[in-house]
Amino acid sequence: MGIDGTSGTTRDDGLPATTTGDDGERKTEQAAQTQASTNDSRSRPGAETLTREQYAEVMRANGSPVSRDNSPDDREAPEGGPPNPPEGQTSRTVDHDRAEPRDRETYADDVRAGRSAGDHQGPAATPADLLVRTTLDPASASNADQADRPPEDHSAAWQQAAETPILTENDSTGTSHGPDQNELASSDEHPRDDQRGDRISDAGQAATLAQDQRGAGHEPETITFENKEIEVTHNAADGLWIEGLPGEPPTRIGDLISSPEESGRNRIENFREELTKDADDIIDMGGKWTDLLRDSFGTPPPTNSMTHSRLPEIAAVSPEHSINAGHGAEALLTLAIVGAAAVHKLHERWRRAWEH
Amino acid sequence: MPVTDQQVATLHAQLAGNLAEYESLLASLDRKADGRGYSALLTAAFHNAVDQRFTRDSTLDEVTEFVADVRSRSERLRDALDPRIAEHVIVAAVGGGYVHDLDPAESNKMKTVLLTALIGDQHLDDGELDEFIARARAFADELLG
Repeated sequence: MGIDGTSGTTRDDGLPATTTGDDGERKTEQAAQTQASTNDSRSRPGAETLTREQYAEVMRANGSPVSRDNSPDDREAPEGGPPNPPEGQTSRTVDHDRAEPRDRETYADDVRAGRSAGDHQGPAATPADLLVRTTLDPASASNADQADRPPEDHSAAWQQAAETPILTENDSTGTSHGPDQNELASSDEHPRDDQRGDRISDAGQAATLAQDQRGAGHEPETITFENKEIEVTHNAADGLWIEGLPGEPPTRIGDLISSPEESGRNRIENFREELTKDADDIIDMGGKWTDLLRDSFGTPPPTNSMTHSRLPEIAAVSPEHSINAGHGAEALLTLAIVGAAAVHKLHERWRRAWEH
Repeated sequence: MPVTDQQVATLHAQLAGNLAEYESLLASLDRKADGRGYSALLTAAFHNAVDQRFTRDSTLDEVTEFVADVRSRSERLRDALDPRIAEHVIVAAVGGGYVHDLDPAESNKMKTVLLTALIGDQHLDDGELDEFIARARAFADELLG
């Protein structure tokens, strides 16, 4: 956070610019100091009997190194301020000293000069750190209207800080997040759980990119473009060439990038490569997957399945070809009735003829 | 050389579920003469089927669910289909590509089985299946041309 933005604010509050900081800890200090100065300092006797100047002289006389730990953080506070910061402020100041190696004046000068903490040795505050301080520190939250306004020159860092919880939350909840190159390669190998909500086109792009990356390890190949052979080395050091660029195509390139209008043609080329690659084994291997094919229809089977359509025919015809005991008894009974009728008729005829 | 009627009949038998006929027709194909044509037909049919089932707006969830559904249909399928590879093959197909590093035998198995499952799920009648195969044949001829 730029010092200009806060200095004006702090001057409006009547506090010296040096007592305000850039991050939440400094705002915490400010809040604590302000609260202490308005509530406690005048009503509560200080534990330190020395005045600020006396204390400083004693410390200098003792030869103590001027460090953040043993120099009162409020030594530039206005007269009448609290001789000692509240306990909580002290602990935060110690923590702050670990994170910020510069003293207050150096820090202010650096910020005015546009130098960031990263220009100095020591751990730099990350956007996530900034965010945590901003959102979780009640003191800084209470001063948000004054000190949390990001200055222009640090807007990017604050923007990153604002985006940090989204990324963190997505990581924890398994939703999408911006993958780096390595993640793209891994997602190409296996769509992970945290990609499940992603559109397939994103994964397809990742797959294409990862395949392109894998292509870096491919053997050099020769392609033909406008009747001219081009050697593609798949080595990035040899440079990239985009189809459709004006001028003579080079004879040797690291990799080929297709222009959008060529994407349709390249899709066809991809399919041609695929069918050529897979053509050798398709006839030999195809017959070994019959069981898998049968299983893959699942249930219910498709209506156009020959197996399905033949089953009713077989079921309707097969009983006609089978003879069981019932059929035999029925046939015998029929024969017996017919035979009895025939014998009865013959007997009647013979009796009439005999009577005549 | 364009796709032949015998190659089309083989694919038709496969997708119609007439697997005995499929085996017989496939065995009658010549490895050298028919390999490229049948591979083109299978590849075209697979990509057409994937395009019918998935779009670029589809989510990976849908792909994962489909692969899981196919693998759940039998123990053989569960053993034979690596879900990562199957999902990868489908995702690459949606993007208009293919998995470069995949072994041809594995690639053919994935395309054959997944194509059968994709078509089986659509429950096409004879006319629709004929139309699907006709479009695949036209596409394959374009690839071979």
